[in-house]
Amino acid sequence: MGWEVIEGGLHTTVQDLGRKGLRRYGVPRGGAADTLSFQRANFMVGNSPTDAALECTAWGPTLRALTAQLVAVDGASPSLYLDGQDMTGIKSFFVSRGQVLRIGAITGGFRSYLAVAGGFCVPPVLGSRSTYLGAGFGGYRGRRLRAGDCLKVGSARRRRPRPIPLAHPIEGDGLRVIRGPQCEGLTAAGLSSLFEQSFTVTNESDRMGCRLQGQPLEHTQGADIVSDGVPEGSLQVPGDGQPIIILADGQPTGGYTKPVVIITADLPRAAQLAPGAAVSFGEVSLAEAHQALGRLRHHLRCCQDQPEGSGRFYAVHCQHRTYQVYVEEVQVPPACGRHSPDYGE
Amino acid sequence: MRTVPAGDRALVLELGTHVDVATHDKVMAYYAHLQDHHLPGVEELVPTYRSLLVYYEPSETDYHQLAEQLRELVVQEKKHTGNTVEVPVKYGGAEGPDLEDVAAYAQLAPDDVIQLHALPLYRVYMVGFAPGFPYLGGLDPRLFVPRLRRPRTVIPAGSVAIGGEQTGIYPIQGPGGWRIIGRTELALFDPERVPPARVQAGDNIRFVPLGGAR
Repeated sequence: MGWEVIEGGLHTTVQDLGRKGLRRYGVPRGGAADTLSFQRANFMVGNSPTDAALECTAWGPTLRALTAQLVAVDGASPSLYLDGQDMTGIKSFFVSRGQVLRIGAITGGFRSYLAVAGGFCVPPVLGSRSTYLGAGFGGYRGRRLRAGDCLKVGSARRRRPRPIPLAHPIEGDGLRVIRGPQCEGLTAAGLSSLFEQSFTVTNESDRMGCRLQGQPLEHTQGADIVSDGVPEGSLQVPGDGQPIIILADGQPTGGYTKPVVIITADLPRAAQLAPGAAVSFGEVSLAEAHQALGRLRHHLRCCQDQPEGSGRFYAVHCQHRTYQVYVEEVQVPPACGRHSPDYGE
Repeated sequence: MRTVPAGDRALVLELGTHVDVATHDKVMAYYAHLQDHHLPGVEELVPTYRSLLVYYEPSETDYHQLAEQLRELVVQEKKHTGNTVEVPVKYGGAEGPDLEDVAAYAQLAPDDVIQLHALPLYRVYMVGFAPGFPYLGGLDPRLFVPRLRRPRTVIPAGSVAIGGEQTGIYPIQGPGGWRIIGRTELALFDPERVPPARVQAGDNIRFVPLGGAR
């Protein structure tokens, strides 16, 4: 059961939902940067939300299936080729033994998630299968994938994709933030500048932080604070006045001013900011943040509760080409709104 | 005491404004109390110099309710006594490439730097920045030296270093801008162990110079 890595891609790691309760030891949550797309991909292949999947960044890997597998891709859209055949835009499909899946350039975001039925099997470290590159543990040998690696996959009975709502529950354009814990660390002009301008994501962005470039934000009394706890989503503003969004592998403590923190419901979008992207911030109340989180969790429950697909995959030969066709009858559950399987071709 | 939101799933309980032992004793007292007396919805606690970061699950509690519960807590404040961990250090040489520079900056002999560094019982104010990285308080002011102008991209695990008014140990290999004066073989972080960090907030560290290092 598994996959052979032919090319690792730019930055491909095994991730799950991360670690809990270890920040006091200096260990961040880790896990998928965009937990929404990660879980959606898992649900499509019938996995639990805690099964491990691949996080592919900017340019994905090329993999050979050692056994037949049901796969799903969610998050930013990559170019997808199965034995050279263009599968771009297709969310979930079947890969036969020996076929080569090539995940190419990722567009419309920064990170794509590849889930396989049964989940990727790596030994859990500190309660999680996620790769923590900062300390070189977890995931596949504590590092990115590269050519020659062999990934094992857990056993799965599922052979049919579970249809899930196509659209992500995206709300608004900018990222919503809560004031604090150090909004007084910026001057009034600095704080209004934070909300009025559009920042650009720089090339120096990784799983620890997404670095932004814009009009520098003015500090009241310098950027340094007495080091304290740093939650995921914090906007950290060091001495040069250019904010850094703290992501999944961000340090659990730090010494720079944090004027605002991005709400949990918008963290998946923050994780999809690719270098060159524009981003702005808007303030919301705690109550609005919690309502948005409730809607996000409802969306995920809907994805998880979808019944397993009842259709079948067919191989159709037509004009010297072979197409994979998935056919099923679909019922739209009223609670979850529109849903249409997009298994294309 | 005051509480401030830190996003929609955490709040900061601020227990003082300065870095001192009395404030940190208070932080440790609240930390211990909240571990023994669980408040509904509290998921994780991170003790720091002068505050406690309290992570909560918003479907089980909310900011205002939790903030009020924290304000009403009756916490016995007492002098915190943690474990003392002895850290054997090989000072200078290849293990401590910046020892001579630190000595020159402090206008001391390298042996005096070692002696001054190994003398105090350092308190671990918090662990963070990197896995197992202890923020230590109690460095002799004569050893305050500025950070490197150009941080090193790779510092070996176990490096003992001084940066500004702080001293610490890099538990894992990584980049860093502090001046390295020695190295310990003691593993400060091991992901296969529970807990993974060798020292925790509230513990004490004493550096023990290894003979024949220089």
